[in-house]
Amino acid sequence: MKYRNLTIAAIVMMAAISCLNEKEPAAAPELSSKEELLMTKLTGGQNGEYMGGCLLLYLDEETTSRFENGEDVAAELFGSGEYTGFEKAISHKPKNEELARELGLHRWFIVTFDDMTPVRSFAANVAVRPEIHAIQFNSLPKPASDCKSIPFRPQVRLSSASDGKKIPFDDPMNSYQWNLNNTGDKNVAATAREGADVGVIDAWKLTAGSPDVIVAVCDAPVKYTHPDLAGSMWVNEAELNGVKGVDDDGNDYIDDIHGYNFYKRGGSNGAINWETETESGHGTHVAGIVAAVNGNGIGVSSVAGGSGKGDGVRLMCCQVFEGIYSDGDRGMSEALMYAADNGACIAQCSYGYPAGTFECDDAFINNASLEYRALKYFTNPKNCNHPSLEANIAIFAAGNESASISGYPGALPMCISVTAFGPDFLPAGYTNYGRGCNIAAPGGDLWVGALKEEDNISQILSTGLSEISGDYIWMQGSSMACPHMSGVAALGVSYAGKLGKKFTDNEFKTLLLTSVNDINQFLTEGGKSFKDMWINMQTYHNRMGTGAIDAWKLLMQIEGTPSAMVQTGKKSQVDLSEYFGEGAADLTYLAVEIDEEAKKTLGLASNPKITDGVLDIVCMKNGSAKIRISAIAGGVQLGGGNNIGGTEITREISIISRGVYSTNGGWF
Amino acid sequence: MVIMKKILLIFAVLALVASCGKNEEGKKPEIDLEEQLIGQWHSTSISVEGDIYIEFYQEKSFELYQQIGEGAYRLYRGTWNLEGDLLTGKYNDGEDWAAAYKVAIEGDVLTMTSQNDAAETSTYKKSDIPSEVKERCETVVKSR
Repeated sequence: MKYRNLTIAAIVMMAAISCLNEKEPAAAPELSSKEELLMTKLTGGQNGEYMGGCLLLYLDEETTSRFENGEDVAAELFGSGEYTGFEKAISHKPKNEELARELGLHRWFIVTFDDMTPVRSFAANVAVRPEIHAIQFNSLPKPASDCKSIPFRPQVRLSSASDGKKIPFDDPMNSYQWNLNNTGDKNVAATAREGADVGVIDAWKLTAGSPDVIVAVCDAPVKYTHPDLAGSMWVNEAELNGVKGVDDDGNDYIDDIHGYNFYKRGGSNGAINWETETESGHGTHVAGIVAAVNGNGIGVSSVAGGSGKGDGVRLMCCQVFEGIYSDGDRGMSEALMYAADNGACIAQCSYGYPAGTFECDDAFINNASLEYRALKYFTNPKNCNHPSLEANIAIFAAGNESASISGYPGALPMCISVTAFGPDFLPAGYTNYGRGCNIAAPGGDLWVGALKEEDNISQILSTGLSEISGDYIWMQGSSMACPHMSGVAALGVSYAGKLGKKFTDNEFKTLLLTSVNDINQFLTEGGKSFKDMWINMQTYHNRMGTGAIDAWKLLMQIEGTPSAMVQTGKKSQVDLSEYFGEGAADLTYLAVEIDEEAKKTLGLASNPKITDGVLDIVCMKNGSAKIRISAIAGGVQLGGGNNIGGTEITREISIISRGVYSTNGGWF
Repeated sequence: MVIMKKILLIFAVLALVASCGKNEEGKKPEIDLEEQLIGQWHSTSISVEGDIYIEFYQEKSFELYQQIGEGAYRLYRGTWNLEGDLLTGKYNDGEDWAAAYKVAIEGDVLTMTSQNDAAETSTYKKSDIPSEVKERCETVVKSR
């Protein structure tokens, strides 16, 4: 009888599978056991750590509708007494319901059961139900940092930069922020290198942020009462001025004044909570790197915390960790959707699955299907939250396993994966690197520090949780690199808005990933210490992404790029570093596109070629025309499918062929 | 007769006035081309999409602010030399201008024609260089 039921189930499932879209798991062939049936439906998560006592289930449309109409489908699916709870995985109503349905997000459910029941066993039992199209273990992403912190205390006095550059804000601790202005001070590290920072000093002359740019900090809680953060927090005015316990703005979340706590499905009324015993201050630290208030006379400075006039970007707290705990995929997914629905245009995500948990893009897409769909929701142009962008931007830490691949979700081409370097401009020993990594930023490096541990200032100083230091702490990790990138991206969006410019998704990501300083020049020989090891720098050559992010270069690129002038009638060489960043020579180029009309205009006999980041071109006529060059940002192969790899970036370059030509680009 | 006298007088006065005009023109001091060149100029017609400001200084140095395509103005400095109406120059990095230019100045319009095969002609008008152009260029030079 049981076998017969299984056969019927199999037939029904085969029919159902034929209706699935391409993202869903492949159909089951012959079924001989529950386990085999389970394998046909299991999207994954079982490779890494996952939550006990719960499963994520993807149901068919009909059963979903019945649930939405109030029918008790759980009893049918699991039998009474076998489960303790059953509800939608995304517990709140999305603002863009049409898109959420298009992406199938409404069909994801979470079933909870006794913690003592093995998850796999429960999954095998429910896999027989034809209404259940896919099953996902609720994976547990991790913060991309060891979450160890050192409280700040006044350390040695640091020297000023040789070029006289200094942080133009009166925040007293900013002389320790080598990540913003690296003077090469040897008290930071014996190997400290001037300029190994985020290149933001000059950028602040043009913009230090804009309140209409909202960065969602998907992380541990942000202590929004911190005096260096309070002025940068996103404020949901309707909730602030509303009635406690009431959803005043109708977004389906109650009292979400500065964000929401997604842990335990907002079990504590969604109240952001940083007072758990295991809380490290990770989220507060990350938030301070992006937008601690600049020029307020206290604490630290930050990348996009304004010019001292309350004009910095805004931080939305999307709490997905409480202490060391999280809601797994479910919480992360809902946080990303909340961020999209409530105005964030950048998702700052210093977490991920350890490198190797997923071996390729398809593995992540299928195994963390709910979160992948939530990312699609966040980055869909229909949900874009800034007029200068086509789509919101998701930025992730590459991870800290010292692995030669990025962790996911950052490794996906739709996300930006950020690696970490220290004050010496060299990769920190912990950082992941290689395939799937897109760009590098300061993340700190304890092991190159010149001072003993409690005085070590080679990590990153930011806001945090520490009673003995007034809530300022040092931390390190790709978790700390990631918010530098988010802060710079936020500056870029602010500046684009100021100039009234709008960019496509590919254009803006290309600008972000090409606004870099070359670090490969330092990765040809030598090494550095990491824990008890000596790591060889050649290992990292061309594997840290396109280079080290530079805020000034981004703003310059947003203003526009100069045309490339070439000499009519002669072979000319155009250095592509103007367009692809200082790492242009090491990039892998995919194509040079030039249409027939442009070829005629310039009198091109053959297609231009690129060698070592230099475009060779021969124009026989005076004139101007545009060409498009595409390259891979991060590695030598593109991500997607069975690959883990880089993101395609494309620049359009205007070529001007003149009879008067100076090699230095001067007009005369 | 009286009428004839009056007519002659009128002609005489007219002739005098006319000759005075000629004399005035003739007396007008010859302005040296080099002196005319000194000052700030803004492009009004160049062969590509772009914007050029240039200042020629008395002491034979120049500052060139150019924006070809999009983006910030780029600042080039160097020295210039005028022989007759032929203008040559050298950038501070040691590179010579790509061509010598024949210059002509009519009123507040400067015309420069390259003396190479391209024979490229550009025109400029006397105009102050906006302070924001100068400030932005400063920053470009300073950038890492």
